[in-house]
Amino acid sequence: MTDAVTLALSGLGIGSVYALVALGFSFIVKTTNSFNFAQGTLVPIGSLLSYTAFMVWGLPAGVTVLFVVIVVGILGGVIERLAVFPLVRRGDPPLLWLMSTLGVSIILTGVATRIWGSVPLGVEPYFGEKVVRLGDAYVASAYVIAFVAAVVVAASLWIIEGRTRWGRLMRAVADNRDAVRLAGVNVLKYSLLSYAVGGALAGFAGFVIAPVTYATTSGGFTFTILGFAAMAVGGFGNHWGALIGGWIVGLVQSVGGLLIGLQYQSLLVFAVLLVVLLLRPAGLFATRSARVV
Amino acid sequence: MVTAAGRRALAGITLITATGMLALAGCAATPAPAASGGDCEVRSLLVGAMTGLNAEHGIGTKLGAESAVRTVNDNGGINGCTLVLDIVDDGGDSTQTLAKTQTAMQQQDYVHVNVTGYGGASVQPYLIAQKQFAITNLGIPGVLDPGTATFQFDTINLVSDSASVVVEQAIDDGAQKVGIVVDNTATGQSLVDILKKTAADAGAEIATVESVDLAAVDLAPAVQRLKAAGTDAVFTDLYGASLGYIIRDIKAAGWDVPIYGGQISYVTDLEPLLPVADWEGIVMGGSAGVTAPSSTAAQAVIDDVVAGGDKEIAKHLAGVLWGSDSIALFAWAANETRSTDPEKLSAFLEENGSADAPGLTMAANTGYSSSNHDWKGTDSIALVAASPMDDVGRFPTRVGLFTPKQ
Repeated sequence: MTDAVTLALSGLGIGSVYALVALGFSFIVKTTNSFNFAQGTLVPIGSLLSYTAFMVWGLPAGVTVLFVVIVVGILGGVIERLAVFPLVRRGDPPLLWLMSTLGVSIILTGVATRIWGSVPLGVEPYFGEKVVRLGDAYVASAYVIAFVAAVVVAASLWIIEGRTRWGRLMRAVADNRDAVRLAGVNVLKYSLLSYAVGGALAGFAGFVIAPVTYATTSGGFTFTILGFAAMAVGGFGNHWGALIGGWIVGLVQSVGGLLIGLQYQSLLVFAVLLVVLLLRPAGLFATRSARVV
Repeated sequence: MVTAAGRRALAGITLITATGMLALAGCAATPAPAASGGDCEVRSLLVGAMTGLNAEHGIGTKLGAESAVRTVNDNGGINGCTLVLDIVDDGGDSTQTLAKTQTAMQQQDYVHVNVTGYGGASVQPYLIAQKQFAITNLGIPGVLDPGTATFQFDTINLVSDSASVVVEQAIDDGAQKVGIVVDNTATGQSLVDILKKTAADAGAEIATVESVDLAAVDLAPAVQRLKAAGTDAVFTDLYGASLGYIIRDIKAAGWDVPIYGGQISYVTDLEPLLPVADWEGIVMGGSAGVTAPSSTAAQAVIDDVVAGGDKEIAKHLAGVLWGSDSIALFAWAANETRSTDPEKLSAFLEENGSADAPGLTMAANTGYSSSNHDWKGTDSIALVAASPMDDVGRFPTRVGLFTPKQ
């Protein structure tokens, strides 16, 4: 029983990291109708920046997280300006955005490798012990932070989108870009902001997960795929769905790893994804707009 | 408004694009020359992970190969021609290694090829089919079948030899149910049957085998399965971050189980990944020449790499020696035969397979079997208590040499 609790906590923890990536995806998809393939790559960039700021420069954790979120947020904005904005302005189809952001992802990994090298770099826990013990069960302290952070971020995005003028405008831009433009709104500014917020979320996920995964350039594609799976399971464009989708992916990985072995973790995750997409093509918690054709 | 169909299309396009771009990235790889010059050139190709999951190994091999190329060219090159080393990075993705090797070999004629890392095994059939002279550093049993691999050689001990020695040590230390944690590539899987036999021969058993996806970051499920199987000692041959994860997750579980590491684990630099207290004293085994570079030739290669500006040589030590040996062995055969013909080179190595090649490092510690093209380290495997290496790659704590049971 204790082992099951430990694995469940662990699954929820890593699932919360996938959820943070999925929330970035979800936010960008919902507000720009585009998909940033570099989103997953920004997670290890966040981890590597955390390593430099926290371990090398010795900055406090609070300053480190601010530094990482701001830098990776700016990087997200730069991606939009370089790899998305020119194509949108020309009216190119979404396929080109996907390819251009994937290209940026490969470039970012190469640049990061030049800066930090390929050897994984350890990051000490930001607060307290590495492991939090709950009776005989235990969970990495970074996972606790990830869990709380994912819930707070999902709630924040939900509030921002539904309750603020900025959020409503971003949704309006996604729904009908031309109409909003005719109303005098600078729609391209909102696309930039969406990518910056998405980047900041990925950077934050990288900061949170660094003590668990180490800072390394190699995990970007895995985070992209599993973050995407989390969004697809939870429902395209639904932030709460992205959160729950992340938890489902994490739990399937963890419990599946126990039941049938770690080599089949990915197989199980994508089997679940396949079943969900077959039964509910827009995901478990898709927004009404995503379900109605 | 984006419809459900639109979003599904977006998802599908995303995955198709990802796959296509990765394939394109793989096919578009162009070798980067590491050295050049001279009136005529002889080209050597090194393919491995210079970035990505397994980069420590690839970088080490590259450093060693570059060092050996400098030495060869300083001593007249290959039959008077400059030896040029081309390096191709497979990014640590073993599914890309074959395609990248094929692309490089289609662009250039290579006299000598070394494909190393987790993707190396997948390339062997291609090298055999191409009748390509190759000296790899894989150490995987079964890859080099002497019946078919006429022109292919390997410079390192079989990882299964050192793994067997370490598991025997665990059993000598009192273990009766050894849990195995390896990666799910051909390298890791090559150990499983051999270790089962080793344990049975020593009167113990393998409690469970956990095959780990190298992309996994949470190995707690494997730890739970090991515990549930009644494991009283853990043997692992994981590498890099994955090795850090399994040790971390064992410690996080509060599980005080003895941990042993094989040749692959032990070339990992654990110092940046875990507190020293978590891993110091873990018993690991590997080629004696790598474990403690006791030969003059091995130390000379290390000193040359350090002089070349790489001060973090300790992280790359094993690959350095293996990569260097591949070049040294090739240069020896080519200069002795005055030829670059695969048949002549291979015949020479078949006839002269010994520790006589100048510049060889492993040879001082291992024998050579010309019957199967593998270096056989049956009398030269060292076990060490893992501890931080010094800045020129020496393990300060050496436990002793062990001979595997025949």
